[in-house]
Amino acid sequence: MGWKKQARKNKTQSTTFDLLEKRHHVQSYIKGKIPPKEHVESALWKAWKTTPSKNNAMAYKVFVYGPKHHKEKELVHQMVHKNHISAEQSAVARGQQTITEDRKENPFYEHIKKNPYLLCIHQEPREPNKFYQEQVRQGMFYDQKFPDRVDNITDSICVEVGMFIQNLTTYLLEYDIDVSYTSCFFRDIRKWRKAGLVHSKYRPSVLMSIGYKQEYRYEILKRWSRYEDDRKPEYDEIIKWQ
Amino acid sequence: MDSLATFDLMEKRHHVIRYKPEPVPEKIMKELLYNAWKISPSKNNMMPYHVNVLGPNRQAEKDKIYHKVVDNHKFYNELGLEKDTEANPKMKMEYEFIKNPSYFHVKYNSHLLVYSQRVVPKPNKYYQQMVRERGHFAEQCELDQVEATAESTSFEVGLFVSNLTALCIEKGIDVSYTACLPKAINKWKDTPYAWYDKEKQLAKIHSLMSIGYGDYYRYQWLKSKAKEGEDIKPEPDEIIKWI
Repeated sequence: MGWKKQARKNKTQSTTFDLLEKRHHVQSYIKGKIPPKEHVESALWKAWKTTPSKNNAMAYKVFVYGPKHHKEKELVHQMVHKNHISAEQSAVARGQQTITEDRKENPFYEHIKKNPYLLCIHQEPREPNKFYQEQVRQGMFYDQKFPDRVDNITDSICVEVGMFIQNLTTYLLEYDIDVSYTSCFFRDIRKWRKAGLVHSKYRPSVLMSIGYKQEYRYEILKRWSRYEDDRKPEYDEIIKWQ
Repeated sequence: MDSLATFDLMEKRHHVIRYKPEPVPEKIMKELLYNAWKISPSKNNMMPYHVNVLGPNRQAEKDKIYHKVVDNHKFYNELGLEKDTEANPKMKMEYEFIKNPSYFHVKYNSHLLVYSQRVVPKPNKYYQQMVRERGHFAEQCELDQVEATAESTSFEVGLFVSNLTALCIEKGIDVSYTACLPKAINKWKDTPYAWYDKEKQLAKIHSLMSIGYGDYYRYQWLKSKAKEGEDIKPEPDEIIKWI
């Protein structure tokens, strides 16, 4: 198909594309090399400023654990690891798998435990701004303000969180700072609080680590001669012209 | 490098109320979508979603989706009235449903993208081996795990949407989104392309995104009503908390 060749050729005309092609999942960060706090703060501010939100609510909160919070990062890693075990055991119980990884730690979750910065993004109810207060008076339903509606709006908040995280990624990559994400963790906030992670009262949406990479995941796969096997689905499988 | 390049670009994005009638050329749309696909990451490289593209010749389908959005809004307003009139009984009497002009972009645009959940037919070669030999559970391939994986799919859709946005704005093309849409999986029986379960005709829609050349923006509409200073987002320290 001609346009695909053209797209590959044209990619260098796109600053965004060239920048984002540099993003790779990090297996491990350089220990002791910490991105300047002002760079992280600046990137977070830019992401806040440029990420849109339904009704300007931004019904989520970004909790930033800095370089000294080893204990909390270890606890978050446990939320990830235990969830992984639980998901596999449930799959076996349902007959969708026959074996589990036998509680082995997935090395690709290592970035959650050892990083300069860890972001935990949780949902958070929000009061409407002045414009929407008026809309509410006229009968609009502002679902983002109700704590008992948090679980009903999870999907649309997660789309917004994805947009925020992508923008943040772009701004950090401009400083040559690497990032990685994880969506595998217990969603039940009670489990977090019980474990001692009491920064939020609401459902977690995603985790993101920030630092300078020691090694990317794809480099490890290359070393194992498995890089070519771990491909995303073809373009035509995802993009459907109707 | 303290570059403002991307920031300046992203600051140009505004919600569109009305697009110009000229469509975005199909070749450009295909290139933009290809590049967004290329740079968007996904857990286990699964990409458990479809990006359904409704081009300029699919007006009837866009009308249908627009009505779903409006009906959904009406439904939730009425649900909210039940909640709010407990405190203010006068409210229900004064309520009149008005179609929100911020949804017009769903109906009139060059292209409308419908992001729908898909059940991945099989993992890639690497994960096939992980499933077989290591006990990895490929949840994105299971029909009964659609609800359980919806949040992480929504997050991934957000990544894709944001990448496509940046690529579009770079080319002077505008985009807008809508998250107000029927969330119930049985409310999309008339959009077969979006079904993840063909037998039961179920669809999980994560987001709607319109694309085109903007003619009239929501901030201009707010300005015309002298409301632009009222519709602001929460301050950064309400959203970002350093621990």
